Amino acid sequence: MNPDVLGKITALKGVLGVTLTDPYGELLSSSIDNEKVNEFIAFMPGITPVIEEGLGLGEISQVVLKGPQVDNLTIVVDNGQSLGVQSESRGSIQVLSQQIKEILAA
Amino acid sequence: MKSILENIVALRGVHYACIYQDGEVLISTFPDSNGEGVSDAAQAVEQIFSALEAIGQAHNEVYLTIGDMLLIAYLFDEHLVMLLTDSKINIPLIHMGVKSASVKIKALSSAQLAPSLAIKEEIPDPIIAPVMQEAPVQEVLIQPSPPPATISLAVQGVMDHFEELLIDYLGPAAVFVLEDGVDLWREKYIPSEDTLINLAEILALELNPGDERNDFMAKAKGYL
Repeated sequence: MNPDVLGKITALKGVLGVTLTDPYGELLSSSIDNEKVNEFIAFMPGITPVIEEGLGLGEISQVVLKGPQVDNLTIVVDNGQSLGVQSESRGSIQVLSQQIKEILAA
Repeated sequence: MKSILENIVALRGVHYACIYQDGEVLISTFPDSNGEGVSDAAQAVEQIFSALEAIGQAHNEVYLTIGDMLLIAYLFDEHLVMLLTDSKINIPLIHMGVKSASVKIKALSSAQLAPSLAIKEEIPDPIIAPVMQEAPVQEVLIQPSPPPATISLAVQGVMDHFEELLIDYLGPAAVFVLEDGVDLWREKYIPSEDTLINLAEILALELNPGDERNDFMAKAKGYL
């Protein structure tokens, strides 16, 4: 993934950090300090195929996680790579998701 | 339980829903042909939440984009509610509706649903038939609980107005809030025109403190 893309996503309003992992879970780039969160981002490409197979509706392109008193986590899975974006909990997940989608599609 | 799930599916943009607990789908509106697959998917979603918990993260909502659809799962203390929806939906509305329903789901799933299903499966039909023939009916039948106090048409009319008022604040989730509120009201008070003010007060607690509650109470009193 182009480093410029990571820079553009990092610059989005409300984004706190971005992590990119390869299909083997190795960190390619990260501005998220929490090592465990980075491990979780690397874990996601392994679990989404189970959901895809179960539902039979196609590929999961994006996963967004929310919760009380925690930062939002948006994860884009593509060809085994996992792009994790940590963002402020008060931000709109739909707006941020759309912005990330547009940057990746450009 | 089924009606709770049907109310969730009635929310705009929701296609299917299921409740998953203790490794199994308790109830589902997903197509029957995909039962095992839905269970596998719910189990995988549960693993996501477990992994997050293991690293000290308290996320309890997940939104997975699949083409033009959204798979949403909410984790509650004992169960997982999983929905398949349109991608463009009012997420706060869906969340509020599911949260409201989860209170009932929790009560039913832990206290009633599991035991009742187990008993139903354990009683073979041949034993029931002779008992019914030989013993007087009143000795065999389980005594029903006392019937709930009836609600007059006048009271029901006011309750309908309360629901319309709640919809202004909560949207379709008002249905769940009213049901919960009425249950609580019937536990504490005798349903009558005299106690409708208590129902209004119970419902107001579900709204934001301040202007929203005051506004609701003022309008509700107009129907008393």
